[in-house]
Amino acid sequence: MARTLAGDLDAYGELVARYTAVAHRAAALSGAGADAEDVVQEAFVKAFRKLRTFRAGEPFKPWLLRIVVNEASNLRRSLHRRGALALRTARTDPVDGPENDVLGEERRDALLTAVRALPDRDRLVLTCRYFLELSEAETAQVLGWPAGSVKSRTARALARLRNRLGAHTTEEVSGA
Amino acid sequence: MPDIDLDRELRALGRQLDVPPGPDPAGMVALVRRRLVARRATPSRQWLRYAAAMAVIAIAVLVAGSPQVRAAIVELLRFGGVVVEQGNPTPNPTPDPPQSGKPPETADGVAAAQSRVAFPVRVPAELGPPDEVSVIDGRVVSFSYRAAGIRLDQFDGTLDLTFAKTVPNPADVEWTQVDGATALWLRTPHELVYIDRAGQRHTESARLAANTLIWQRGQVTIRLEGAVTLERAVVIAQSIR
Repeated sequence: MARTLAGDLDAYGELVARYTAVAHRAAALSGAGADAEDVVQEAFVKAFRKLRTFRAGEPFKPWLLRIVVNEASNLRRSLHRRGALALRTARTDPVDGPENDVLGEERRDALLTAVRALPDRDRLVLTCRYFLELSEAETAQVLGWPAGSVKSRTARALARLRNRLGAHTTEEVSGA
Repeated sequence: MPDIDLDRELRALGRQLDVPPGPDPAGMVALVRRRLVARRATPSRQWLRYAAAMAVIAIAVLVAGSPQVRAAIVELLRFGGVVVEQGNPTPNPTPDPPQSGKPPETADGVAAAQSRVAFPVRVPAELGPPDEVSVIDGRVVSFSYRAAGIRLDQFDGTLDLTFAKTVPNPADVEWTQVDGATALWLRTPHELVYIDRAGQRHTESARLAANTLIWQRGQVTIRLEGAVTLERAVVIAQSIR
């Protein structure tokens, strides 16, 4: 990290290699969709140029992901694309494993529909906390929110989600 | 439904989300690296705005060279916030662009400029009072000597202002001294790459596309640009009191 901060491109390359996968997942899940790869590339270029704003000693991952998520949001806005559309489950190749025990297919679809219908900020905080499995502190850094509001926004988003799921059990589930 | 279940379900959903396969990390490293060394030469029309947003004076000299040479240069350059980065040479530096369309705040004179900046503004006795003095955001004082074709910039080195220079050939960089302090002499046309506070690089063609002497005096970094020889530049530099 110290070498990277001194402008060493070889050292930065090591960071790029290490964080490409997580950055790509964050980009894809925050609305970049098929452009996730471009978003990641752009984010790494911007991150290098912004290194001066990186405080030595702070964790690199959330700092980087903030740039990735912002870049994905900018792209989404410029394309008037709804971020929620980026969230899809892998229907053709379902993951085998304990996840399937936790979540049946029907329940999974209902949950996904409910998440997609959430307001942007709710969906964003849930994406960070559950889909990217970031801590509250990391989420706060990625979204640029105070730690307290990550907690309260998560609670509110979960409450909304529960309401929607409750409604869906008594009504026709509509795809929109 | 207890929260704990929804927690688990959301995590499980996350693992089943369809995320397209990520790019090959090595390929990404290569792409990012290429972009970072390419230094797109798009002159920024908002130079002044970026200049205003600049923070410590660091002069980054882009040198194509072996890592060993580069490391040695980095060590030598640890003054005045100067940084050396490895990169590809710029094939065609834009030579001598006319200076137009950039209206810095013009100060009435050296005294007026001094009143607007926090560092001591000095005049080279060899050149005398400049024809024109401008101040950029209270951080940079720029003297222009029209007849002599010389420009002298004084930067507040305590700020986070970043200047980068692209030098096509490392052989064009020479080490010298001004008042016993290490100085850098660049004798080819070059491009200036400004890094604003947000870390964005903005490429600007060299103002005079001429020889440049860069050195530090106290907390101030000084750059002299013009059609002068190294010897003459050092004489001028040492006449700054």
